[in-house]
Amino acid sequence: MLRKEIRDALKRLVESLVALVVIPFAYIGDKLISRAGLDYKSLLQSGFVVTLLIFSFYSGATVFQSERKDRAFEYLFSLPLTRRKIILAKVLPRFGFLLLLGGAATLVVGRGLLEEAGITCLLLFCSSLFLSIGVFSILINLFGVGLMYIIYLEGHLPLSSALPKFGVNLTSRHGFLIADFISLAVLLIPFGAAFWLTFKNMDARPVKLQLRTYYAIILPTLIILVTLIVAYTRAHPLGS
Amino acid sequence: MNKAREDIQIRIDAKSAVPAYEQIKRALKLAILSGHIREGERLMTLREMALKLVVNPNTIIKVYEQLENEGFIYSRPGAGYYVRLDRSKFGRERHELFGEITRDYISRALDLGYSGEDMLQELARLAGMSLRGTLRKGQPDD
Amino acid sequence: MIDIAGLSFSYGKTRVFKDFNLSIPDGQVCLITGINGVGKSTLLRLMAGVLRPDKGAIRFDARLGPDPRRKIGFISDSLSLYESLTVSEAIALHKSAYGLPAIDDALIRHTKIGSGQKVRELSIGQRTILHLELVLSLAPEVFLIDEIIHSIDAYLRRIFLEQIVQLLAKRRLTVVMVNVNFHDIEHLVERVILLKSGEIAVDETIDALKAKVKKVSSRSAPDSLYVLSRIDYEDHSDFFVYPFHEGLRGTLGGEIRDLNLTEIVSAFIGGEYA
Repeated sequence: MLRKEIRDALKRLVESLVALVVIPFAYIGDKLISRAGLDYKSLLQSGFVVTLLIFSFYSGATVFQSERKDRAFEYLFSLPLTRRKIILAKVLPRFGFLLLLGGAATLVVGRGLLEEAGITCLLLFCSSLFLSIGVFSILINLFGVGLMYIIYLEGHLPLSSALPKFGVNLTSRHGFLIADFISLAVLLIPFGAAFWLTFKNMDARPVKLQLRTYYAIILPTLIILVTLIVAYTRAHPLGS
Repeated sequence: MNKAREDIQIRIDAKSAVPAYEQIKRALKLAILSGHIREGERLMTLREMALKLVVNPNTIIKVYEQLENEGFIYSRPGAGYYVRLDRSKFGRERHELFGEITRDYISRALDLGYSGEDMLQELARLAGMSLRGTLRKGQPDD
Repeated sequence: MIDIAGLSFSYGKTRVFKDFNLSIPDGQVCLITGINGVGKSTLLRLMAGVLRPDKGAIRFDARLGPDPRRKIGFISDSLSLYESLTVSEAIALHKSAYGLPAIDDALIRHTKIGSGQKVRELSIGQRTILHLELVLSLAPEVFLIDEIIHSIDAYLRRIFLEQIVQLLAKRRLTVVMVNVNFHDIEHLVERVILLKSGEIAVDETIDALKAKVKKVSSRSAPDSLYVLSRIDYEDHSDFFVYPFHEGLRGTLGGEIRDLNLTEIVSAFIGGEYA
C-alpha cells in the first residue's frame, strides 16, 4: 500500500509543479513585451513559493482521492491493515515530498523562506488533510482552508496580548514562534481529533452518513474561535 | 495406484427430493452391480469425484463411507477406493436396487397421473419391444 | 466458525438488522438468500469487516488470528478494487497488504488478462477472475462470495466452482454464499438460510428443505398444510407447501412434485411479493 501512496503523492507533486511551467512562458512574455521590472530569478522564486503552497494544500486535500474516484473504500477496508497503518502510508509520502519541495524551494529562495512560509505550509497541509474527510470537493476544501488560515492569522492578536502574561517575550524570535505554534495547535488539534475519530471508526457506508461526530467537533470549534476573535477585535480595536 | 475408472456417468437430478448423495450412491451401485465397474477396479478419489460432479466433497465422503459400510467398496489407505463384489450379497443388493428403481418409477408415474393399470400396460408394451430387440438398453427416458 | 451475536446495523435511517444471531460451524457451506434488498450483501459485508456493526459482534475462530480479515476471502458484488491501477500493480498491492510471498496467477494468464491493463478496462468476467485469484492466494479459512456467479460466462463459472471444490477438498473452509440463483451451486451447498425483514425465516439443510417443500397441483388448497405461495392456472392451481412429510403423501389430492432449490426459494419469496 505504501508504494501506491508514494506513487499517488508523486503524481500530486508533478501536478503542482505545473506552476513552474508558467515560468518560461512568463519569461518569453517578458522578452516579447520587453518591459523592465520583473527579472527571471524573482519570477522563479515566486513560482517556487506558489508551487510549494499549492502542493501543501493539494497533497493534503487529495489524500482520499483515489479511494473516492475508484470506489475503493470497500476494498481498502477489507485489507488486514489497521487505520493507523493506512493513515501513515498516506501521510508520510506526502509529507516527505513536501519537505523535499520545501528544501528545494529554500535553496532557490533562501533561508528566509523557511521562517516565513514554513508554518503556513504546515497549516495548509494539515488543514486540507483534516478537511478532506468531511468535505467532498477540492474547491470547498480550499475555502475551508482559507477560513482556517484567516483564523490562524487573526488568532495571533489575542495570543500576542495573552502570552506576555505567561512570561513569553514576544520580541524574541522564539516568542513569535511560540505564538505561531499555539495558534496552529488551537486550530489543528480539534480538527485533527475530528478527522482521526471519524477515520478510525469509518466503514464502507457512504461517507455522508458517518460525519456526525466530525461536524459535532468542527462546527462548534469554528464558531467558538470566530466568536472569540470577533469579541477580541471589538474589545481591542486596531491601533491600541 | 492403478488407473481409476473415470467414465462412470452420473447425473444428479436437481429437481428430485432424493438427496444428492443418495443419487450418486445409487448410480455407483448400479454401475457396480451391472458389472460396468468390475471387482478390483479403482474408483476416482474423493477430490476427483467432487470436482467432476462439482459437488461438495462432504457429499462424496458420505457416499464412499456408506458404500464402504454396505460392502460395495473398500479402501486401501493411501491407495484409494476399490470395488468389491461380494457374490453372496450380489443377488440381494441387486434385488434391493431393482426395488428402489421400481418404486421410484411408480411414484413418478403416479405423480404424472397414471394408474397402476396404465403402468402395467406400458411395461408390457415396452417389455415386448425389448424382447424383440427393438428397445435399446440405456435409452434415455426423460 | 463464524459467530454473529446481537448484531444491529442501520444504513442511515434504514434499520437492516436488529439483534441478529447466526452461528456457522467450521467447514460448512452455507447459502444466504432472500429477496433483493433484504440485507444479504450487507450481512456478508459485516462478516468481511468492511461494514462495522452498530451493536453486537461477529467473532471468528481463534486460528484466524487477531485480525480475521487476513484469512477471509471476500468477493463482493461491487468487485471493489483500485480501478486506476494496472493488474500487476493491483496484485502487488494485494501481496504487500497480506504479506504474501507470491500470487499464483495461472487463472489470470489463462483468461488472457494483460498485466498492463488497467483494472477499470477489464470486463466483469475478467474482474471477477482477478478477484478470485487475489482471494484464493491468501489461503482463506473463510470464503465470502456475493452474487457474482451469474455475471460470468458458463466456462468461467465452471472454473470458479471447481476452484471452490478444490479448496473445500483441501482444507476446512467455511463458505458463505449469497445468491438468488442456485442452478450451478446447488450441490455445493449444505445449509440454506432465508432472510426476511432482517431475520432468519428459514434455516435448514438442503436435504431437509427438499423433503419439506413440495408443489401440490390441484383444484383446491390442501388444508392440512401451510401454503407458502400459489400459481393459478385455468383449470387448477399449484400450491407450494411447507412443511411436508411423507406421511401426508396419501392424504393429499392432486399431484405432488419435488422441487429444486430455485423453485423452493421462489416459493418462499413468492409469498412476499403477493
